[in-house]
Amino acid sequence: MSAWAQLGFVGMLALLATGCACGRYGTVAARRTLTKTAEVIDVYGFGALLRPGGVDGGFTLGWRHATYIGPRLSHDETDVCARWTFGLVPEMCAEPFFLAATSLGGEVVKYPTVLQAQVGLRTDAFTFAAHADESRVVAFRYVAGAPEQTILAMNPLPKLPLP
Amino acid sequence: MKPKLSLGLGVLCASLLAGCATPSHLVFHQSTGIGADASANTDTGQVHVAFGYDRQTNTLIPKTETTNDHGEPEQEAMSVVSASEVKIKWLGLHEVTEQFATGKAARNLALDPKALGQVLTLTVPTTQPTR
Repeated sequence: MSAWAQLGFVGMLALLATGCACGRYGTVAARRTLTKTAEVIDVYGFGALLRPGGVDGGFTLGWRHATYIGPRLSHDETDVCARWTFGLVPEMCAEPFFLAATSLGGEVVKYPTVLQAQVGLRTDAFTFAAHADESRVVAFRYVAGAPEQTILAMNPLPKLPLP
Repeated sequence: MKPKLSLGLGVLCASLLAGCATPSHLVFHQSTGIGADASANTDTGQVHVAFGYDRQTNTLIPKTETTNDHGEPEQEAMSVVSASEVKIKWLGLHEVTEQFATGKAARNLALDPKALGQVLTLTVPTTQPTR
């Protein structure tokens, strides 16, 4: 095992032992669900959760459940599957179109349009529908307990992210 | 309120309001909270403070550059047709159904009510009639 791998392993153990998460790593459990048209990532975290960037960058002390939904850009649209990961949040293929977050505890967060601080329980849902000069038709349906039924039909599809 | 605190709040509000601008994206936003909450819209500069129970539903519609009848440039809210349904169970989000069209697609659909009706019901679940 290389020195960097050992350092990463020790860092991960420290995050888990102290109840912390930083970015995509730490005390988080994530479920990535692929439907025919959408990619759904549910992230459950607890403890001290630091998110340095992204659409919901900020800091949470307590419990948080966030759902990120984006269009499925891959050409293989036949398989529908769900996979859990622990200690690591998978990356989305595209920028999220929809974001829902529920947090219990204290939180400071910067969404693309809102900067907020709260103590208590809060649920936010954002749909980042289209850019100001964009012509687009979208049909979207999401049921919280059934992510495998998510529909996100979007015309035109966003461009593939740069490698 | 102590002078330093009020001055700090004043500077904060002024700096937020100084950054007033039209949003870059069309955004639908719902929120529900219990507790203490302070938020600021980074596009419009609006500040919101709430204690206890608070529920909000907002839509941010950006402006686009168009020309008026005299050919002069002016800013107008972007074209949007949309239908949304959000179901809240207790304090959590349960179900979201949204259909919308923006820009040129919205203007074209507005000319054809039948097509518009079809687009705005694309993902609405159909229920079986009870016998």
